Amino acid sequence: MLFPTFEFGIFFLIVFVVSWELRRTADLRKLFLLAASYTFYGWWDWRFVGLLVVSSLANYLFGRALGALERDGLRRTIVGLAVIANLSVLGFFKYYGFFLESLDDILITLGLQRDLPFLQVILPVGVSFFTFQGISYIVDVYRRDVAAQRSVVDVCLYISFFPQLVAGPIVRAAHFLPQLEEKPTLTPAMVGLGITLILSGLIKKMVIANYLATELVDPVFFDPSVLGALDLLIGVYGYAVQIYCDFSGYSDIAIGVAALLGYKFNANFNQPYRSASLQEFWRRWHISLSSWLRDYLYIPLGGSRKGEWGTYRNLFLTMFLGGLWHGAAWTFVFWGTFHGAMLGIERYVRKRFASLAPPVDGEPQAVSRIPDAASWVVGVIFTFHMVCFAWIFFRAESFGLAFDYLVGFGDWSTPVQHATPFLAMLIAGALAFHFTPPSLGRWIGQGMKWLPSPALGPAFGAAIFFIWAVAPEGVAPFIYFQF
Amino acid sequence: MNAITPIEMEGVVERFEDMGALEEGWAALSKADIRDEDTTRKSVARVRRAFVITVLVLLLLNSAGLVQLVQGLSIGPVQDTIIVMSETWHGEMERHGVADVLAGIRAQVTEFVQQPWDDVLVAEPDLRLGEIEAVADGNEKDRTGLLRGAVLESSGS
Repeated sequence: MLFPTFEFGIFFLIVFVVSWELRRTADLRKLFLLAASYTFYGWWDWRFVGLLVVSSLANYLFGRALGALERDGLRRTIVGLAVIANLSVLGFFKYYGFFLESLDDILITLGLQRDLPFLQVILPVGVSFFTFQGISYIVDVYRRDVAAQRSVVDVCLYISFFPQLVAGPIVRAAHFLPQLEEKPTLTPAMVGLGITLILSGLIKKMVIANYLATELVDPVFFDPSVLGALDLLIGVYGYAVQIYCDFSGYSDIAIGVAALLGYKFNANFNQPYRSASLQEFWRRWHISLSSWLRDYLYIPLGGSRKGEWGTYRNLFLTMFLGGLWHGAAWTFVFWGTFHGAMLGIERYVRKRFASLAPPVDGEPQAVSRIPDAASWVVGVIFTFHMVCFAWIFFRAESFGLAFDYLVGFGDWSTPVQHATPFLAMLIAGALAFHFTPPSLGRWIGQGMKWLPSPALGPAFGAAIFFIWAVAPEGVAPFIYFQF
Repeated sequence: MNAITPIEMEGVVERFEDMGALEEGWAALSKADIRDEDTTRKSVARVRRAFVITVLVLLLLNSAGLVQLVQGLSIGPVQDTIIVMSETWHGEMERHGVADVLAGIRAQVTEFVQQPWDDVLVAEPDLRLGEIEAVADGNEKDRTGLLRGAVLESSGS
């Protein structure tokens, strides 16, 4: 069941009405939301609901074991086993075929070809997300950031709650579980924000992302060797905007839907293309994943406490694994590796820069005298193009196509074929949005906060109708569903 | 069970504040909880009413979408009735011209989406004074002549 469909609209109306009717009986409400979440997930394939249930139950039991034990060594063993169990599920469903194919290639290269046990493994939707949430619960219990839950329904609902189940945002156990213990409330502010986010998510996904995907990005990346530089350049800008609108659109709808059910999720995107450095970009892009990687991978690896080279190594490893998390393909590995390497280089250059140009007697030296605005503009343009370069590998089906894409930038004589004024306008508009006040959405939400239902209903209905009418026909799946 | 209004409840809370346990059936709620409950009740009712209106607006404006949705239902007497009702509704919307709104918007958008660069970049700069006058006079020949260039036209090929 996809968010921008009538099926989901009907499903959500039923869930909204029934769940709020059950608000005085907290346990029943949670049970209902859990059943709704399994229905939502089972809409794709009922067989995988079993996997979700087993994964949730295993994490619940690991959590109970951690809660009951006091000895550090034993607790460490349990948390290690739990993480391995979670990663094994992810590894089997997501990486089995990839690793076997890679191994086969290596064996063929070495002249040691063998019959390997290839299997047709179907990737369950959202497996990367619910696995990470399971790990988040276990590690949070281990760190005593959250108490081991006695209620199995709470743990299952935390891992399976339908707004964030298939494509995030990755919600932390320490953030969500306490909300399940409180009485759910719906304030006018949550209504305003929820409606605003749902509408902004629909515009981003149904209009901007879908037009860019069908009219520009898909044809440009299908065979970049026949296109000129201008098409390729606008194509990669288009992809940068498409993936942002696709994923942040999904996150917006998820956060909005959760808000209307009385739960608060943290923001997942914060105008990422206004970043003046890659470090800043990763603080603004897919915030729930980057903070997850920081807290559960980078810091346990030693973070920046292991000296200069240790920090570079940890940055690199974190981004390398972050790239692999996105997809079982070497292009994703390259994407993560590139970001890891560039983050390290950026950190090194910044340090060298600072040491080369310290203020002398309070007087700024040449480098320090560069106006802040100028360095910010250069930083934004440079960062955006670094990110776009990496997106080419992220989007291309293979390294061959990615190289064709890069080679095509040498040809400025071929006329434009795919980039139309409308698409250029969409890209420019979406990029310009990154430089609007960060609280714009909240302001609009504030405006909606007190709208009476006779005004809110027609406004919401007319907005959905207009988005539906303007958007290209058909509903494309969200990019992050495949992860 | 006795219904307790928030105002009475506040009174109860204040009266029994120092008395410890309350009689059975009387839940002790803080003023903040009562306020939250009241806010939630009002907000839920407001959103529920808004959603009903939203559905009505969508049924009115997007009857074609409704037909598309019900076509996906499985076969059965209830489903068949729903399909017939939806089609009748859509027919009525078409008869009154409401369904044309969607088609109108889509046609405008399609035209805008397919607009090439030439339409955007060439049309404006080529509008010279003579051309504007020619267009105003409805003289198509003069206008095309201006676009081709005065020298070529006068050479009379």
